[in-house]
Amino acid sequence: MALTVNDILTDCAYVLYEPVVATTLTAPVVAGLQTATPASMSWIYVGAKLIIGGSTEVVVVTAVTASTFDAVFVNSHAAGVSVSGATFPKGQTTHPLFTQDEMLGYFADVQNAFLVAVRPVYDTSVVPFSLHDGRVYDQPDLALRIERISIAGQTLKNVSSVELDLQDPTWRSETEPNTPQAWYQDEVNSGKFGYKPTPQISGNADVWHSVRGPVSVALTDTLVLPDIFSHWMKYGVLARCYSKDGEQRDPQRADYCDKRFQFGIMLADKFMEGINAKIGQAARRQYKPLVMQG
Amino acid sequence: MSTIADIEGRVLDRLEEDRLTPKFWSVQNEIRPFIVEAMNEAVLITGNPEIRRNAATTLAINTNLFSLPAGAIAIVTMEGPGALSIRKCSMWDLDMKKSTWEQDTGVVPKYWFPYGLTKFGIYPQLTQAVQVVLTTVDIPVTAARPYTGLESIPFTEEFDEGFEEYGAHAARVKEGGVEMAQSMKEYGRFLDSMGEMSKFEIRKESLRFSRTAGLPAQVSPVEIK
Repeated sequence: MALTVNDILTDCAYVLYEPVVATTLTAPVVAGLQTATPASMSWIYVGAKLIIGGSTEVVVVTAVTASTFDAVFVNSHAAGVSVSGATFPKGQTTHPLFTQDEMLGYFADVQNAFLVAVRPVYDTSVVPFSLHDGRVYDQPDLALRIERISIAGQTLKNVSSVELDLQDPTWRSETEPNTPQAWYQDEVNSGKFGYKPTPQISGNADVWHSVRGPVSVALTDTLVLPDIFSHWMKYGVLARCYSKDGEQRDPQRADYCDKRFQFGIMLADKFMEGINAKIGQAARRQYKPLVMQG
Repeated sequence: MSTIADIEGRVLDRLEEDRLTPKFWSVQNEIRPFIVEAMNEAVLITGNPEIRRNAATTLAINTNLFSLPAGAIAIVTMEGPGALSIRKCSMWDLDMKKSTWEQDTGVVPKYWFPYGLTKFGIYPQLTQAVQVVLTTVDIPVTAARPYTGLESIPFTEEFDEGFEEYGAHAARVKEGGVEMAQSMKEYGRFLDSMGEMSKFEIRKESLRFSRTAGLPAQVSPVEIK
């Protein structure tokens, strides 16, 4: 079963001596603003995000008493379901050492840093094109780097606009053939790519790309990375925790955690190199012929 | 084959904790995840465990791309119908050879290629569903947390001491300071141990992490020199 952001933050919490919520509901709740009664109110405070089991959801605590908490529930939950979460309660609510939003932000940053460095996850996206939309298009929303583009199963050549300029300075006014034959990403804004020639008809392009993670995450989100890299997320988050200007600052552990994170990047990169899973490195390898049909 | 429970007690010994009632570390929430961390690092260093999956994977029609089976991070081999060997290539190789390769169809796959660590592709697209048997490098523990200790360690016993060393070191990060610094030796021994285990692969299967079809056989670069 896939690990979640909360699992990684829980691991961080134990290293930081921050308690975690691990209790159950003693009575059912229905959807709406409700008062819930957990078996223990330890480490639950106003503003804490909690994971409620059953029809799993994350709720934000709006009020607390010695034995209950209030929150807006989207789902109904039976008695006995889990109530959990790395809430980082020390110093809450007036002078916290860490906040959940802060830790969630660190996780999103670390996951993206790893994805940018290693690029272990790839996907394809459909990007429509048309005459009216011109020559330059936005790359898919979660694309880190475009690796190839094909239209109706035909691979487009990856070129540069500089190369095109040298071949023919009037290439931008070309209209034949009516579908793009090549694509480029230089001399356009970041996050965009261009076609040559400008599309004269409407169609869809299959964009093959590496994937980045979201800029904000929730406790119940699964990792974009395979779980085998999960503990390096922990070290990346801890490096940021120990680096911040606060009571928990610890340059020695910050340096150690950062080095563990970098080592994870190196190992992942080496592994992907070894199994030839890293797209985009192929151009550096010697081409060998394959038997093809057709 | 060991289980996590076989190792966790020895990790506690190294931390001077009572095996039955540890005071400073939680077995369920700290020690066991540390042992799983050790296994995850071991996978990337040694390329083990390789599992020939009992259940066949069905390749659907009209698509070139598929998700890896749950728990796998890399395909080592693919066997088609009648134990037909389907060779590995790369997407770049396909593009170089034929720019319209995505349009080709066939009744059995001729080649497969990795697409990151979560997907793989085949050439050509299939006109009928085909079942293939995959040998994969797997994530060592996929059980949901909290770990019970009964989770099997899919490595041979030679790896166990390395996992103990790692677990003890990872636990001492919480202590910080001199305690953590002194535990670096344990992490160093873990890495040395995994490095030694990766060298076994030279004799066992030097082509296990082969690149694409047609490239000359060579010592896999994943072994730590």
